Amino acid sequence: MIGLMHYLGLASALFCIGLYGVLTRRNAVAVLMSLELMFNAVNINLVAFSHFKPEIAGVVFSLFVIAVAAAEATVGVALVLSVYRNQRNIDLDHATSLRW
Amino acid sequence: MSPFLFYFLAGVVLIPALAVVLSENLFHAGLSLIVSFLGIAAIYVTLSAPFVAGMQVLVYAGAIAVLLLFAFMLTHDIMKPLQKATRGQQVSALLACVLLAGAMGRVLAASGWELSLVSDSEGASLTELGLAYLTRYLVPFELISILLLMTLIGAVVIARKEEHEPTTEFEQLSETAEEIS
Repeated sequence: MIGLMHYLGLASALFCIGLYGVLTRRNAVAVLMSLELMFNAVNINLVAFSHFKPEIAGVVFSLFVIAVAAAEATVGVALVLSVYRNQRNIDLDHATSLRW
Repeated sequence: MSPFLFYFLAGVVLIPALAVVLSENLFHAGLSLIVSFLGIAAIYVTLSAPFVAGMQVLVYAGAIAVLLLFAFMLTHDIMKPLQKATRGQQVSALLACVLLAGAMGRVLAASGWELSLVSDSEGASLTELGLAYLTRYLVPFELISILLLMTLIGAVVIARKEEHEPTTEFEQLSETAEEIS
């Protein structure tokens, strides 16, 4: 039978894949994509706990996470477009004007 | 739920996820992202949360993935090759991920949760969910609406094109020179 641990393992694997993408990608949009994978891994955890230890809070907060992820993606894309307009390039290695 | 179905869905989630982080072609990565999101929606259905699955399809697969694809197509210069991480960065990132996976595996093993803990819960009905949002979780619910409004305004302000007027003749000349070059 498939139990809670299987879902937690799946979420851990997905989170690690997303982390690898965040660490190795250089294109800002690709980093945002990997970030969405990590959001989804957390969401699977919330819904899985809500299912196996019946409690509505998991489902409630998974929907909050979806809303926050949508907000994050919107602002992220706006930042990417702004950086692109200034530098003609969205490689994160080049966006260093705030680095000291 | 049958193990076969779970492992099939896990494959549908994880293989496109690997394609998202490894693919050379960012457009293919974006399309794989949509497949991965749909697989996760199916996972939510097996967890008896059909409403979350519906929101996953609408918001993630429908809105966020398409938004990211649009951002990619608006900014990427097709002729330029994708800049990649160096070999050393790849190895250290892989090491970090493997260490994190090991740590999470240790925590799961030490948690004492039964591997075969099964549930026959029907999941929360839509009525219960709505009541929870409007009673116990009313304050976070309202905060989310404020957050979405702030995001709307913030995204417009950040992405807006700044119209700056060249003030001096020198600036006008240098802009013309830039355009020529």
